[in-house]
Amino acid sequence: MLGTVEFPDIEPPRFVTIVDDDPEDREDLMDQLRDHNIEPRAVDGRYGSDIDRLIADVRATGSPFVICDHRLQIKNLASFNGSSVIKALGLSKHPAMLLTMYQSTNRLELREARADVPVVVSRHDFDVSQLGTYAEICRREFANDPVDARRAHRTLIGIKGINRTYNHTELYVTIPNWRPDDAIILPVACIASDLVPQLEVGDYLLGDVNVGAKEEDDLFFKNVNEIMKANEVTGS
Amino acid sequence: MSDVVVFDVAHGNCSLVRSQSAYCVVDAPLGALLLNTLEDMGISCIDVAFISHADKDHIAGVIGLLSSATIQLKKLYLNPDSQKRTKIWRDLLAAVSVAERQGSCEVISTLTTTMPGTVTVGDVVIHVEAPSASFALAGSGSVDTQGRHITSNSISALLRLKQGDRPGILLAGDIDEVGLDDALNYDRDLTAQTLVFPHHGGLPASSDTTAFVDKIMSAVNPSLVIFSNGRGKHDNPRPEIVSPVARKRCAIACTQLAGRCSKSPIFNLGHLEPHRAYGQPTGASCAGSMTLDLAEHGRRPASYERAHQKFIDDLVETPMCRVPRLDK
Repeated sequence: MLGTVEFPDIEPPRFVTIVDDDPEDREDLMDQLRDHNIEPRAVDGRYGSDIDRLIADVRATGSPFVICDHRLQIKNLASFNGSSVIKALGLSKHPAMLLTMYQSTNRLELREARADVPVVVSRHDFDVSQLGTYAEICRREFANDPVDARRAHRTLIGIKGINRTYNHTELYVTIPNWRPDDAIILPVACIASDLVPQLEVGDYLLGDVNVGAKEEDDLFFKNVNEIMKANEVTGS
Repeated sequence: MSDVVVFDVAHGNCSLVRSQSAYCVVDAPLGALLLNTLEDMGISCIDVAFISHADKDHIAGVIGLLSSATIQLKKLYLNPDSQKRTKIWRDLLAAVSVAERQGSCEVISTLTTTMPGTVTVGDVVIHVEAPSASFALAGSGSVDTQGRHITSNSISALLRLKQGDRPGILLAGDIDEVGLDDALNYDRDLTAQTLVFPHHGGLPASSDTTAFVDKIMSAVNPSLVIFSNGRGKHDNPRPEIVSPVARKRCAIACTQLAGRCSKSPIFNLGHLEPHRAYGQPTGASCAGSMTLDLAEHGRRPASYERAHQKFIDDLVETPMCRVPRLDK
């Protein structure tokens, strides 16, 4: 996440809409907002797979900022994830952030979606006093002027390991100008599908990556659509 | 206008030369600071880049430059390093392969006093003062005429930047005593107004640190010494280096606040120049990123220099750069 001094004096929004399927967590968040004189507004219907209706209800609250839980299925608020809600709101430049438990099961799922989700904060690290910063990060992204940690640059991605099973491929990669010694898992959904069967350990991909990201969970991958085979690299 | 920006990149080195709409990059470590800065400055073409030697904290960012879709690198100078079997060196080779495949960058695998010898960037002439061709050909893993080991650091390029006859800036990479002696044996002129001290102010390979400091300070005779250091990384700059430098009565500026100077980070940032500085968000910057005006002999703008000195006087608990005054 960004350093907090990057935007030291940004006022938080006065109204915030919360989308959270768990009533207890939702109420806890609303209390935190009220403590900071921010008026919370909740959306808590049953939406099934109807994301358009949920988005319409969020808009109807009139809040300039939305906090959305990632897992909306557990208490049956919706069959889709919060990341889909953030992405849909982003299409109309509506600032929103994702709250997550960052459990291992959704970590890779979030990496796939991260390019469209400007702000992800774990519930444990959520800080109401940073809401103005979270909103500013969204605003900058929508203005095509993303903060440093969200700026994508064309970069090499080294393939360090491949686990292939009958229906699943897992790639371990390094990013030389991010942290060349840290291998991370790159979801194959982030890669042009025609490249995946060609990949071997030692190959490199080229893609757009936010190499200014501070943490692994803040990385996103876009346009990963070029390959350099290991045997094309001298000294291999 | 010709100037050099020495960036606060934490542990590593990165400098940008700007002159008459021509641009040059010397070294770049991990991260996006250089790429983001170039984009914000509206620089879409780097005429030439140098990699001083084959260490991660000097080359990782050049890999990003070689693969960038928004910034074209036209020419890259570096020395081969046959001893390098590191992952980052292979990554660099891959990036060079990408650039060669795209035909976007001319990569010149020689960086010595004779080839290219000098490179011109706008009004700035960059003199390669080390390594000599024979020293580079011996390469890391071999020994010099005195039987001392030549390492990757030994073959760091020494680049002296000048505009006209004014003494300019010496970028010293990670050069050690063995490499420095190579330059001095050939009577290379190393004098400069500003020295970016080698190896981030870390200990040189030689056992006699003070002798190394004396030797490089005598050869360069700088008025300002810059340490490009990362707070909390290898305890740089080391007091064994800073003390003898400070005793030479020249000004000292560290990009980041050494742990020995202040146990806590300092978030008073009014003195920093308006360039990105890696330590800024975490209160780790001391001088931060610095502009050196080549028309002014490679000095910092006076207002920023004064503001930095005031920052040290007012807020830094135990500044190593103030040692001479305490000795009085």
